[in-house]
Amino acid sequence: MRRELLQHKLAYSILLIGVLLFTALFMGAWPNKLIQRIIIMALVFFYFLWGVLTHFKTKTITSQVIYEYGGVAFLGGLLLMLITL
Amino acid sequence: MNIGSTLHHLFHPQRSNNHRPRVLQPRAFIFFSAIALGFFGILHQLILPLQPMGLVLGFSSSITPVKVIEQTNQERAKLGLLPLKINDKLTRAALAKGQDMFSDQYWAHVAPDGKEPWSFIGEAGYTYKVAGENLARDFFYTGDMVKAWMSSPTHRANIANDRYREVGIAVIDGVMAGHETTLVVQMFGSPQQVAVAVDSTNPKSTDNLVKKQPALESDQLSFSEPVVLASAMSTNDDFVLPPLFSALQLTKAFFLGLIMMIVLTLFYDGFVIGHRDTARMVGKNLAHIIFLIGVSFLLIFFKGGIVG
Repeated sequence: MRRELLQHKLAYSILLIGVLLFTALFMGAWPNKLIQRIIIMALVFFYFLWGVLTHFKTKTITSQVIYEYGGVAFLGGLLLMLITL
Repeated sequence: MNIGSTLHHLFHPQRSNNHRPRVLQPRAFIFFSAIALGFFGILHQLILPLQPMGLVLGFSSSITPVKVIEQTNQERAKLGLLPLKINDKLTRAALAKGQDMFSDQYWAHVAPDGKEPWSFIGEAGYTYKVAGENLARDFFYTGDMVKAWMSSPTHRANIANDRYREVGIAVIDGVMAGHETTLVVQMFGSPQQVAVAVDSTNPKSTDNLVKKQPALESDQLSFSEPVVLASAMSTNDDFVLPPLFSALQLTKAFFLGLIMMIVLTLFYDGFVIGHRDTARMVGKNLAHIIFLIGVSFLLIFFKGGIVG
């Protein structure tokens, strides 16, 4: 994993900044649950897009990879959405 | 297929699962999503409405009226405002409002039958120049609740309104829409005679405030005999031990368990594949781990509570 991290420093930096930013926004939006849900949807979209673009750039994209990112993003988003209900 | 080979198939990258643990494949994430939805649905639609109140699952907050008043006055002190005094009639109005919300099962300033907060204040015998109401539910801690009020411009405007002189608080436990909760009703008021005094000393500033905060003029209500009520009330007359954990805590624990299983499998998969010479076209384990740890952080630190 360290090698992977070093090979794609920029991509992982963007991912880390994005996740941290959405986390801060989510915490800052409390107690407004509507805004929190919008932030969750933005985080899900960001992660899916990050995954697709990163694999597209490295020419390692397949339908399986797209489904995988879609699945992980959907699961994470769903869990967060459910606790805000 | 025995248990050992099933576990291998689920968690170990090997030929049978195309060198990607089954639990990390796209279909598995859909399956986990369905499990999470099923768990949430069963908990909220079947277990919570059917189980007796406050046994194992339930809601228990540490909010007390004294703490609410203390922290409200602390916020006012920060703004250089006078502390609010407890008024028994406002407390009675707050209790009546809270009981009305539980009995008619609504969560709003205006009841389904059109009854407004000012009616409760009037019925309690409080004659006011200006009055206001803050509501909150599902909070565990007083500090979080007051912070939530201060984060909302309209609720903050009530707490920071220098025309209010008195306050009544009700903290009421009960069941709302099938879920145990604690409602907090905060009624603000300024007795008519005090407000008049403010008018005479600084009419200009008062007019400005009235424009910002439209005050409801009371009808000429007659005062009833003062009634002293406890500022907290529970719907249960008997003492009940607090429940072991709340629905939110149980949901968080289940979801975190699900995420931890996936994250550990991602680490394990990365470790095993790192020591092999296997080429495969799959998503990045490290990216999934970063994303899911972010989700876990939000799950852990998510605070419940609604202000109204």
